[in-house]
Amino acid sequence: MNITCTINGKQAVYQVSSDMPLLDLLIDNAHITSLRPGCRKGHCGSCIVLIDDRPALSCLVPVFDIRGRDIITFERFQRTRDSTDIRKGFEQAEAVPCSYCYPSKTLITHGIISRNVNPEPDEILAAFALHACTCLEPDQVVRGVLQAGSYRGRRRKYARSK
Amino acid sequence: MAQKSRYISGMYRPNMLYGTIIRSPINRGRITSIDIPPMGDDVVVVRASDIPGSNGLRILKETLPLLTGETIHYLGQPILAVFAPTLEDAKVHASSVAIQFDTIPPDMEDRGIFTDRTVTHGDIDKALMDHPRVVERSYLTRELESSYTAPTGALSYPEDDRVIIHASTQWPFHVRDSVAEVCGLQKRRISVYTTPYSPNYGEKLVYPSMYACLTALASIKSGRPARLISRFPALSPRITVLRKTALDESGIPCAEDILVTADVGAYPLFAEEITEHLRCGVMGYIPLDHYRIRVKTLHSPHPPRYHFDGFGYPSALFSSESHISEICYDQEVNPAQWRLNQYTSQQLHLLNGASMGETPLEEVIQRVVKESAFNRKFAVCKINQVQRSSHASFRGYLRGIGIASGFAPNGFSRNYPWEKLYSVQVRLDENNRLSIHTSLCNSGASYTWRRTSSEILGIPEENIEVVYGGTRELPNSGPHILSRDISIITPLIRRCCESIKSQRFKEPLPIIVKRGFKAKSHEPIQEFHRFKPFTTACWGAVVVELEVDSVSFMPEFRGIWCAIDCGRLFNEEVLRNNLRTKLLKILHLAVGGRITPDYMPKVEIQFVDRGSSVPLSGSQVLVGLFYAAFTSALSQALDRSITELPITPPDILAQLEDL
Amino acid sequence: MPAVNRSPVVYTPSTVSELLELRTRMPQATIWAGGTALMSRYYFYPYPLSRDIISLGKVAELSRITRTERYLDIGSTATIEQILTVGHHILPPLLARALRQIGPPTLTSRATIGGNLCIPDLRLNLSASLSLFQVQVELRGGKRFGQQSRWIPLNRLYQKEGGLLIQDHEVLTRIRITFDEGDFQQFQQIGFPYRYPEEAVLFSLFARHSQSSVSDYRLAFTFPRIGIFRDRDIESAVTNQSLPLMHGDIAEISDLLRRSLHHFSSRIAPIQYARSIRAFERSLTLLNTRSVSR
Ligand SMILES: Cc1cc2nc3c(=O)[nH]c(=O)nc-3n(C[C@H](O)[C@H](O)[C@H](O)COP(=O)(O)OP(=O)(O)OC[C@H]3O[C@@H](n4cnc5c(N)ncnc54)[C@H](O)[C@@H]3O)c2cc1C
Ligand code: FES
Ligand code: FES
Repeated sequence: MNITCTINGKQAVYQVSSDMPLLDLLIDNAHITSLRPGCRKGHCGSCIVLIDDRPALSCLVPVFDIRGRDIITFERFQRTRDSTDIRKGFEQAEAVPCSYCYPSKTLITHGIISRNVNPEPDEILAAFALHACTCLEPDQVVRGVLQAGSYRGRRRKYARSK
Repeated sequence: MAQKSRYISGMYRPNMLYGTIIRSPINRGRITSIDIPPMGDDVVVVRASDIPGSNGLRILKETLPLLTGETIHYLGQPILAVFAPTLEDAKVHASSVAIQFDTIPPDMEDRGIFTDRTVTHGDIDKALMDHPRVVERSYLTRELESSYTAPTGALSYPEDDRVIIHASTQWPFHVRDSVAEVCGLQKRRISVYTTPYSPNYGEKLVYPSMYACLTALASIKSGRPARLISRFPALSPRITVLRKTALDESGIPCAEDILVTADVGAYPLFAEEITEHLRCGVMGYIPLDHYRIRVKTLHSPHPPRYHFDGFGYPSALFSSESHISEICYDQEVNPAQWRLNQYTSQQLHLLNGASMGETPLEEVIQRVVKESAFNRKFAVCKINQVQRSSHASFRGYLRGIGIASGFAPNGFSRNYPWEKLYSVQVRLDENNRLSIHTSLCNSGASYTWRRTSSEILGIPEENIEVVYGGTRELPNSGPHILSRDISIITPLIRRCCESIKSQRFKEPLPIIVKRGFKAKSHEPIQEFHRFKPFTTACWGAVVVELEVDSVSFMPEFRGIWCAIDCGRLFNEEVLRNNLRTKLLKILHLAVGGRITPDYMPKVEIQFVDRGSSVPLSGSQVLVGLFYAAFTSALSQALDRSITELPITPPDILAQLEDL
Repeated sequence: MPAVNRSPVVYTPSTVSELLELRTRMPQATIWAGGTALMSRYYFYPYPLSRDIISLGKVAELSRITRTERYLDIGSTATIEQILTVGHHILPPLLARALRQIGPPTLTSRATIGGNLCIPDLRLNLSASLSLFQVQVELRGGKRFGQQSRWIPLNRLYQKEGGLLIQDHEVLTRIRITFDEGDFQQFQQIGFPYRYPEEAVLFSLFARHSQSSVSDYRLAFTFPRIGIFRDRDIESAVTNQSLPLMHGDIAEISDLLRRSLHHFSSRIAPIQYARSIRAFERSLTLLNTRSVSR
């Protein structure tokens, strides 16, 4: 099947099987290196990408479903201001995820604070509920996300005021 | 931040072939036919008959077959590998290969013994007969499988007259030597680079060499790059420790008979060393006049076992420490107090009488006891236990607290036959920049190395680099197991720096210093009694407090307290985080993964600083002690002897049998 | 270009009639909603004999949620997340909790209600929880099969032992929930229904009570690999008691549950059995506490 989509700002066409997981397309065809294929079954949460700016588990998305969509992976996201909010937030909260988790944690955080810069702790923890993460304690994650949200909020306010 | 670094799954070369392995679906048997349908020009099949060199990986004294010739020895044994331009093609082609087998029925499978070593002292049989009080328990660590891991694999490609290999290996020179032997190449024509891996998880000692050989064969056959990633599960060995302990009038062990069996799979890889580690781990800290320790490694039709926390040592330590707690419960004494009473002497001795000299054992115990309020909680749990006259009517709290203390060695045993000299090299260049060269360059220890060199030479850390490279550029520093990065490499780097320090300002730059490590020549142990099997030890104590949920039967951790002597501390925060991560991973394994992924109990880790100049790795000791403290706490909560790991809600229910 | 052409053909109908037409033509094709359950199967890809796919994703009508005073009408491809958002203030607590516990937004933004109800061999959070309310589901089949649309109570979607009773030519299109007011509602996921279904139990409870009695009591246990257990005798046994329940009453009703569970299936694992009894007893104790504090 011909799959046309935009990956990290570049439109491309791939000839692949329709039921291939997006994760495989990104790693093997688009040569994305930030992805961490873990369980490939939706359990570990380490394969997150943004599809139309919303975080998704790329192992559970078939490529036929990304036709015409905009996919952003951590490589590209990392270079945005949105990402800086999150990096600064986690640093400020002294809750920096390890390299294995970093890309996914960042993108999930983006998903949360894009909708609400001041989310409830429960909402934050629920968003990370799949992650078999052993480095950060739950309240560290909460602090990190809230701090990131506050950077994002301030930046938005500033942008609006201009 | 290592997010820049590439896991093997993120490595790619143009025109690359993707590989998949066809493995044996049976335990034991013979291949009678392999039927490979035509697959097209760009598909490469690697069969045993394609191997130009030897069809086997040499692991010290043993050889593990690479691809099955005729006889199948274990479930999952590789039979052939298929490489194609996409992974999907490779897998679909692989599924079209038809293989016929003659199976060997399970009762005819060979389940022999690889090694069987016994040491005795005194007259153990008589001692057990003479003492009326004997505590007997069997401790079992089942096969543990790590769950989601960074993938294991390799990528090979030809470049000029060489073969370049990237592999997620803990032992790059083993990859090189294996590829040389299998492909019939000269070693200097191969360069192996290590990709990031997590040493805690997944088999990165033997499998990467296997995958590297297969990709190298495919790459040589096709002239194209070839990559293979496998999720073949790696299980730790199943270890059973049966202990019979005679107690004297005051309830102190005076004689012990210990039988250890370790199922190491179809090939006895590292069997000798496993024996040493198990033997050391079961010893405990009360010298005995009568003892017998027998360690057997057993054969089974399973893949070679992998060793993510030392060669079975944590399971052995788990048995020693749980056993002490069991002895205490039998006598209704507080296990923390009991330990403090026994281990106060400045000179601690092992079961075989070997002197451990001055140890921080008492201090680590004191610390965790105090921080966790052990004595008070232990008393409360005990009262609870007594009040629960019958489980049938009980629907309330099942709470318990457990303690364990002891040491784990760093590095290989003194009894290990190293054939090679392993080394590191440090170079001070004309611009006063220091570079550290070691093939263990993927190690998390690089932070420690830079700090320690900076201290010795007064060079700012930003001017010190741990060089990343391949086996052609770097010295052979051996395998990254048993925390060798800390226990062996760090002291070597220190020695290099000391030497540079003494030459600096006298000799012209650059100054290059190389230091090597070779274990003392291997002599079979003449006399086990009083023999101290390891040179370095890391001491610690752990307390675990938990409650068993009365509806789900899941253990819920209320707190974990650790005190540990990791020698010289370079960065307490980093170390604390690493150890905590380790502990939580082990916790997941210990409950058979039955825990919500985001579940994080409170973990407190304190360090005991005795002014040592060398760092020690605390992960092995922590694992063994956690196992023991966890099962002891569970034993108290359930008022049953819990001596098996992992333990899941169905197991807990089976213990209670109250419904 | 893949050397082996195994790429399943994906059909993306945009109306229900197109969908039904395709369904009639290809009863063997895989119905694809969010795909989360399909893709998390171990051997999903590359599956050498994969079937063609009918994706429901573009059938706008199927993802609609309509709200009235009395009921919620949910299209089968509405995602869990969507239902939680739209139903924010009106979902009964039992359902809200069952939906929320399915997983994080990364999963629930794709997972659909229809998918959750139609996994052939696994009953999960929603089946039993919904069946405690008056829930009708609409099944639609192709013209050729006579009946265009039929509404059935949700529990008739399943066999006694859990299996799905959906015909090859049918598609689940709508779920209609009529709300009841219940002042004591519980949903509990005990264990891990998706990863360790043989050990897990899902406990759903709906009740109305005053200080001294229970007027309506509905209870269901889900054993993911076995099916849904609901027993009117137990329900009326509780309804006939006055509150607070005495220790002996609890023991008696609990005994009744033990016996019924034994009858229900021999495949219930001891851990599921024990968890069910314990959860039930705890909920009765909680009901007592509630009634006393009224
Ligand atoms: C990691 C993970 C954890 C999970 N944990 C939980 C949990 O804790 N609790 C829980 O309840 N669920 C859990 N789930 C299951 C989840 O709820 C389901 O995967 C999801 O609801 C299925 O919806 P879907 O749209 O993705 O279905 P699909 O995967 O698209 O389809 C599932 C099945 O239903 C069929 N189907 C779908 N729609 C229709 C229709 N309209 N008519 C007829 N047949 C149809 C499909 O053919 C397929 O057989 C988990 C899933 C994953 C991956
Ligand atoms: S790889 Fe584990 S959730 Fe996708
Ligand atoms: S931050 Fe390290 S495992 Fe999640």
